[in-house]
Amino acid sequence: MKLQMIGCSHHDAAVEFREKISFTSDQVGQALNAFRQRFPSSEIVLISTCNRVELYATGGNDNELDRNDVASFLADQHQLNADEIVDQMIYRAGSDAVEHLFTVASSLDSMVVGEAQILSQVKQAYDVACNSGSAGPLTHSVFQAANRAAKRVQQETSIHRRRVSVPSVAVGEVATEVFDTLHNKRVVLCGAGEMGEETLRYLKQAGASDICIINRSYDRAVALANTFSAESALWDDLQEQIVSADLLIGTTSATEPILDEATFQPLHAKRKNRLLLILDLAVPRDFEPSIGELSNVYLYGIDDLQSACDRNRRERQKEWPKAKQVISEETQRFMQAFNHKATGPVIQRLREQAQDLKKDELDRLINKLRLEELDPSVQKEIEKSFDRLINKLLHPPLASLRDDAAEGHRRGLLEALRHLFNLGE
Amino acid sequence: MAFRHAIAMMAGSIAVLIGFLAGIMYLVQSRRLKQKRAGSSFRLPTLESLGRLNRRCLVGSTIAVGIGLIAGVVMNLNRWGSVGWTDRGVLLSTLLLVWLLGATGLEYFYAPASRGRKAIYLTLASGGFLVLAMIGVLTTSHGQAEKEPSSIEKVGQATSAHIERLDATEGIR
Repeated sequence: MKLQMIGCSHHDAAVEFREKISFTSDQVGQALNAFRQRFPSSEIVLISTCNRVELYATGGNDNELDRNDVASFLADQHQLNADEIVDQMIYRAGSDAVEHLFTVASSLDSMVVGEAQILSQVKQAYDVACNSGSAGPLTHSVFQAANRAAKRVQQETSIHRRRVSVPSVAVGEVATEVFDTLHNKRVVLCGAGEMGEETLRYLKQAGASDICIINRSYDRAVALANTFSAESALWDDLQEQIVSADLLIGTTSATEPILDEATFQPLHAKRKNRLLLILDLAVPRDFEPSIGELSNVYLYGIDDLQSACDRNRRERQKEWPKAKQVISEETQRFMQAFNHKATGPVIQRLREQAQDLKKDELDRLINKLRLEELDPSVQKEIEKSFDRLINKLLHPPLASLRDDAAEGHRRGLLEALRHLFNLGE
Repeated sequence: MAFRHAIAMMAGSIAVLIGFLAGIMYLVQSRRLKQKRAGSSFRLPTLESLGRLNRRCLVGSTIAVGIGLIAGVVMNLNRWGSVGWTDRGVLLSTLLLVWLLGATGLEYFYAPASRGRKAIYLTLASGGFLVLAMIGVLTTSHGQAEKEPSSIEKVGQATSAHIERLDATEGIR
């Protein structure tokens, strides 16, 4: 049994191809069933996210499945040409496939290295495979080992701890240096676009509960507010909202600043110079930069936050070799355990065969020498001698077989043993 | 009473000192944030908690120094019947209390200073007054000789005792 992976990701395939090859959650279940119908003794797990599509499969024996089989299956699922699949998708087998899965699960292969979402997506794909009955002994052990490897990377490196998206840095690193908690803070979010929505997600995670969304299109503000259990306000109320704000966030697409210093100064006086953090995530900027020079006002623009993101990215890169070391250790450990497990049946059959031979020879000897008439202790001693002989004969080949298994069966001793002693398949 | 005086003054001094340190940290943190260095590996407590600690220290130190000063006055009145206001330790401690009362009043009743940077500057200045008061206490005999309210009072008391003795002697004659 050999794990095989065929897939593509943002590293090696254009988004147009990824769109063509991707699976919706409903299609994943159908694909798993179709694969099992075509290859009944196989195991399969299918990971399909916005950045990657990867199919992990293994046949009942090493000859049942190959790259072309898997590629033609994928081609049939999406009505594509199998050659296109082979050209555009990467293929890994054996320990390479295992290492690739561990790397993906640990988020080292992600677009944003260290993002936490991929591990849950891998787990979800494995759960779907388990529920549909398409996972088997190898996929169970390899996906459980992938989870362990990802957890080890999380625990032993700080690769996941550094935030690298602008809204996450703004909320998770800047706001947390100003406020103890966002729970009792009035947050005013200007703009209800994509950036606003992403920022809202981080605000909610950080515990913000008093959020007001203000947008030129009021309907959009209301829709977003309903999704995130927040308030919405009319654009005309902007100044009134600023007076009540502790955290002011700009994510609009306005071409001119929505607030200049002259307008802000009387509002700040109304606020009694209360501490105010302004996060300007918009391009062009929503707030005049000179506002940040006022006392008790801290203004972070997108460039300031971007530089924090870049710094964090560099910090993550520093952790990369450590994380890769963990992955290679885990891959090696998994392969050793897997190969060792594969030798089990052969060793058992060899021992059984030796025991059968011993029994035959012992019976023959007992009958010929009429040993049953002698002292039973003599019979026992002879039996012990036979056992010692078998153990001494089998010890060197079995020790070599174990060593070879630890090295990934490079010398092919398992196969040799199978043929030499006629142990069957 | 002497014990209460000492404990309250010590608590007040510690509160002023903590407030002073919190104020310094607030200014450093504020400067870091203004220089867009949030999220770097060097971390300080949040501005909000430093500001809160600063205000609590201001109020706490005012109450403690107030109690300490009142306890000192009562103690002196009980022992000597008067207070040595001219003693440098007493004078500067009173000045510290007056400053703390003013600073607390400014912090809570003067709106533009409310929860602003001014409170931090007031606490930093309180640290300066604390140093002065400490110098006043440590460079004089304040609190060291129980029987000396002040040298002038000592002379006055000695003179009145002598006059009484003279009067008594003349009465016998």
